Amino acid sequence: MTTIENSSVGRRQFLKHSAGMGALILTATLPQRGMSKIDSSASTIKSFVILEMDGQVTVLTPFVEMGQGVHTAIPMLVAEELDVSLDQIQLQEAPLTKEYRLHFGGAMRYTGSSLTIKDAYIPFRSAGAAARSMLLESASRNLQVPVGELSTRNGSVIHNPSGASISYTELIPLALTLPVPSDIKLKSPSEFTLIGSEATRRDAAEKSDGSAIFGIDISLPNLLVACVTHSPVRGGRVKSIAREAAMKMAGVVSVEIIPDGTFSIRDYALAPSDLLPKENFGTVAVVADSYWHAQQALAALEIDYEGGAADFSDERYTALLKSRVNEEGVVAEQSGDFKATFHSAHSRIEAVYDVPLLAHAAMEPMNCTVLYEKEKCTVWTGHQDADWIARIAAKILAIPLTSVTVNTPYLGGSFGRRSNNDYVIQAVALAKKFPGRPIKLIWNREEDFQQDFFRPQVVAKFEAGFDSQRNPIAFRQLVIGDGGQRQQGMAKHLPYDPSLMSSALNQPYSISNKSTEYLLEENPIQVGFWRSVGGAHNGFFIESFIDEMAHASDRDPVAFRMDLLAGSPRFANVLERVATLANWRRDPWQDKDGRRHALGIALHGDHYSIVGEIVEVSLSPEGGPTVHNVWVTADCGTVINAKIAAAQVESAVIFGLSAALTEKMSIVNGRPMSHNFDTYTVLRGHLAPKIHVSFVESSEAPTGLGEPATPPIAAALCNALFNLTGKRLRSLPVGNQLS
Amino acid sequence: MVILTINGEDVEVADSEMPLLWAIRETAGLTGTKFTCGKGLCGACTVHLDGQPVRSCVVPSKIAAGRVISTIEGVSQTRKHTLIQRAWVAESVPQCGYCQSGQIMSALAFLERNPNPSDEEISSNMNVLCRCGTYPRISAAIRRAAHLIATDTGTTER
Repeated sequence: MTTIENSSVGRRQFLKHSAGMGALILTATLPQRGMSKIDSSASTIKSFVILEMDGQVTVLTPFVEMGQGVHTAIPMLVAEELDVSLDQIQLQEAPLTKEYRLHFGGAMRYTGSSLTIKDAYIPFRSAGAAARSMLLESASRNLQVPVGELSTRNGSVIHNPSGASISYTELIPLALTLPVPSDIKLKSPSEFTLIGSEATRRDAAEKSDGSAIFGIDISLPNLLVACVTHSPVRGGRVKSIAREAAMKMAGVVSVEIIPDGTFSIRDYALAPSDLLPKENFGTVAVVADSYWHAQQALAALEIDYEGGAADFSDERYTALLKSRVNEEGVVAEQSGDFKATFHSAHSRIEAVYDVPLLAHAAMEPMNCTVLYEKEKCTVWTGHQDADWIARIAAKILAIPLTSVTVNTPYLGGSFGRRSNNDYVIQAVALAKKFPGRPIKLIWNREEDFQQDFFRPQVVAKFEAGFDSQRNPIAFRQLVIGDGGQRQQGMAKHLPYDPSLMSSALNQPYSISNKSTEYLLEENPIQVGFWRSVGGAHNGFFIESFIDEMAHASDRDPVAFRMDLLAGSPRFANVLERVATLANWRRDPWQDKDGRRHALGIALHGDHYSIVGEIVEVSLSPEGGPTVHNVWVTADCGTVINAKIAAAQVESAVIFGLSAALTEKMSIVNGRPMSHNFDTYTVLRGHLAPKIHVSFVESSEAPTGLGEPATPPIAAALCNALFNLTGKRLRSLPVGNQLS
Repeated sequence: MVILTINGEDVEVADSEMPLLWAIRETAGLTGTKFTCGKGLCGACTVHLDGQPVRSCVVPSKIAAGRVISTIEGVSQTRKHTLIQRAWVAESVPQCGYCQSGQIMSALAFLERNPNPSDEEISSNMNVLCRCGTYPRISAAIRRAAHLIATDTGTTER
C-alpha cells in the first residue's frame, strides 16, 4: 500500500486544453500509484477539472451515484486541493473518452468493485492542485510578489504579509495563459480541511423532496413505454405467441419478441464490435402509450415457451456441489505443504458450508430509455459502465460509438446488478424498431426477480490440522461453484474465477501450510456480482470455520485470531479495536430483557480494506434470532467523508445481515420461486440492529468501502449463535434452523 | 374517466382502474412517487389520501377520485416537510434515495399521529422498505424532525 503523506509526484505531467469560452481544463497524466498486482500494467490515469471564467469549478466524473456518495466524495477531492468550497463545484458526467478509464490500468471506466475512491484519490486531487498552482502563479504576477508569500483559502489567493486577497475569478484570465506546472505538491493529510470531514451529502436534499431524477423518471415528448415478460424457465425461448387480443387493447402500439440480452458483458462490452451475438429470444415486449396499458396487454398475451434450464433445481445443484467435496481443486493460493502436514497432524477438523442464490432486489427496477434517431442514439439509464452501454447501442444499431450518447441519472440501487445490462440490450433492440420515437422500457418487480443475475450458489469444504499444543498448522479451503466472471467470459485465461475466489485469497491468518482451491461446476442459471462478490460467501465460510478452529482448540475466538495475526498488524489492530468497542466476552450472559445474549466475531479483508464486526444476538421465544447490536471497526485507509463512510458501512452490514437471516432464491425446474417482496424476505426497519461504526485513523491511501463491511456479518452472526446455542450453522440463510 | 385532485390540481385520468401511482407518475407527470413492487409490499409509492398514507400502486384511480391526494411534490411546499427534510439532510439519510419519498410521506403521516414518538414506536410504524439499509438514520432523522417540529417558531427560512 502506498503512503500518500508528503506525496510529491514529480514525474506528473499536466496538459492544458482551452475549452469553449475561456475555460481552463486540466488533464492530469499521472503515474499509476497504489495499485494491486492485477492492475500493475497501468501506466497513466487522467482527470479533468474545468475552471470557468466566472469562477465556477466543474469536475467531470465517470462515476455513477448509486447511493455510495461519490457525487459528494469526488468533488471533495478537488475542492480540498484547490481550496474552494464544496458548493462552488459543479459535477458533470464525463464524456465517453478513454482518459476517464481510471481502473485496471486505464482499461475501464466503471463504478463498482469498491474502486472509485481508491483509484480517484490521487488523480482528482492532482488536478485540483495543478489548478491551484496556476492560480497562485497568476496572483504572483498580478501582485508582483513571490509565490512563497501567497496562500489560498476558500476560492481566493491571500498575500500573507499584507492580508490582501484576490478571488480566483479575477485570476483565471491570466492563469489561462500560463504553462501548466510540471511538479505539483499535494497537501499532506495534516493540511486537510475537507477530506475526513462530515461534509453534507450533495444529493441529500433533492433525495428528500422527490426532485432527484432516476432512470425510471426520464420523460420525453412522444414517449412510448415498453413492458416485458420473460420465459418463466430461465433461458427458455418463445415458441409461439398469440398477439391478437393484446393488440386490440387500449394504448397498445406493438408486441415484439426481443433478445434476452443475458450476455451483455461477454457479447457486447468485451467482444469485438463486429462479432454479432447469438441471442436467445425468450422475452416478449408490449409497447404502449403508458406503463399501465403495457402491463394490461402483457397479461392478455398467450405465449408458449420451449427450452431453457428446465432440469435445474437449486437443491439438486447444491447436492451436486456437495458430491464433489472430496475432489482436489485448482490451486489458487498455497504455502508450505498442506497435505503432508494435515495427514500427520495431531488432530484434525473438517466442515462443509453452503450458501444459496440471492437476488439484488434494488429498489428501482431495471429500466432504460432510448432514442434512436437519424443514425444517432441517446440512452438514459442506470448502469455501472457508460462505455459498455455505448458498445451495446453501437453494436445493435450498427452505428459508430461516437454516435451514442449516454446520460446517467441517479441509480435507485444496484449492489452489482446494473453491471449486467440485459435491460439496455432489450431497450435498444426495441428502439431500433421505432426510430425517431423515444422508448422507455420498465421491468416490473416480478421480472426484476425473474431475470436477476443471482449471487452464486457456492459450497466450501474446509480442513484444518493442529499440533499437539492445539496450534493450527494446516488449513485448506476448497470452493466449488460457478461465478459471473466465468459465465460472462471474463475468466477465460485465468486458472480460476476471481468472482468466486476473491477474498478467499490474501487473508491474513498465518498458518504455515495452506491450500486454497477452486473447483468449477457449471451453473446453467446466470449468476452475477452481488455486493462484495467473492467476499459475500468467502467471508461467511472462512470466518465461520476459523471460529470452529478456535473452539476446537478450546481458545477464545478473539485471542485465537490474534495469535495468527502477528504478521498482519493492520488486521490485528482492527480486531483489537472492535473487541474493545464491543466489550468482547466469549460466554453468553443473561441480559436485562430476560433473554440470554451472546457475541460473535468475524474479521475479513475485502476490496483492499479490513473490517472487524461483532454481533450481539439473542433468541426470541420462537427461536428466531434477534440482532441487537453490531460493532464495526474498519480500516479503509484515509476516510474521505466520515458521515458517508459510516453510512456505507451501516448499509453493507444491513445488506449482508438481511441475506444471512432470511434471503434465498429457490429455483425449481428452472423457475425462480420468488417474484416479489412477499416471497423474497428482506430485512425491514423494525429488525435493524443498532450499528456502531468506527474507523481506524489512517493517512494510508484510501481503499474500498462500499462492499467490505458485508462479508463478515453472516459469520459474526452465526458465530454469535454458536456461542449462544452451541449449534453451528453451516448453511445460509439462518431462517428457522434454530426454531 | 375520473378526475383526480393531486396537490390541488385536477388531472383527468382516462382509465379509472389505473393505479393511482401511474396516474401520478405518467398522467400528472409527478415522478417523485416511486414504483418498486406494484403490490403494496414495499411502501416506496406512499402518498397521502385525505391525509392518510396509502400505497398508491394498489389504489385504483377511481377510489382516489374526489379525495385530497398529496404527493411528495405537494407536501414539499409545507413547513413540516421543510423541517423533516432538514432532519433528513442532517442525519445524511438518503443513499440511493429511491425509497426516500415513500419514507418521508410515511414519516409525515406518522409524526402527525404521534408527534413525540419513542424509538420503538418509530421502528414498529415505519414500514417502508429500503435496500440501502438507511433504517438507523431514518429513526434518528424522525427523532430529530419531531424535535424540530416541536420547537419550531415557524419564522425561519426554508
